[in-house]
Amino acid sequence: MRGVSEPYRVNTKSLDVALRTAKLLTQKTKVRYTVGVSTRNMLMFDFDISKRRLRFSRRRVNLVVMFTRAFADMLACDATLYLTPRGFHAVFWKRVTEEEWRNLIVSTIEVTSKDERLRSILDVKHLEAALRRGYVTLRLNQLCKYADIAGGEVKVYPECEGMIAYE
Amino acid sequence: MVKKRGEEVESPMVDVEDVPEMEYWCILAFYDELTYAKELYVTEEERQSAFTDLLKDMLERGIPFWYTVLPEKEEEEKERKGERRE
Repeated sequence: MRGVSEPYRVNTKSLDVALRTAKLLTQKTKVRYTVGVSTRNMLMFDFDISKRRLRFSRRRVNLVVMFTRAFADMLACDATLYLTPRGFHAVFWKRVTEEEWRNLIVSTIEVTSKDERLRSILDVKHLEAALRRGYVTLRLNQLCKYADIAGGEVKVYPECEGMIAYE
Repeated sequence: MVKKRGEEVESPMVDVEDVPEMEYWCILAFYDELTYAKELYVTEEERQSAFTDLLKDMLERGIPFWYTVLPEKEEEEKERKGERRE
């Protein structure tokens, strides 16, 4: 495969094509490719906690849960927190239009610039990149469901909680 | 949704309009090579992960989505190579 040297993104509506493409690109380049899910009709946040794998302070994990619950309350929807080796990822279960999606991200970035605690955990670059591309992507590999947030209640899954080595 | 290597994978479909068109050429460019790809790129970790639940939830809630193939983050790549050396 000539001309494949720079890492880039491939979008497809077929999971089969996505998996095969990731496999092929990994074989043909020096970069490992993974598969993610993309949308512009739902809000997804990245909380990159630490450079050290799965080592977080309880305070930071509590902050992530607190902010996810606050955003879910604001949006009047349920949310799910996923844990990966890269940190936490919040998914807010509410279908929005593309315009609403853009407005929500812009306002979230504005709020984050004024809130030091939120700024310390929320990956704003992820949101800015989503705005530039016109969609947000969540990587699917090594995804573990950490908590469900519904009606203000937080249900933490113990098997995922056990993966965290608290500092 | 994700099955054993070599098995067919059923995929939820979204409207073509929902996928950014500018990157479709990539799929076309790789079509011939993909025909010869024997194995699906699914690791044990991915099989055991919650991602099929996530996709199912998105489908059930009627949220349009598509799949994106993207490179590992640089720091992950370094970490992975470091682990391999160890």
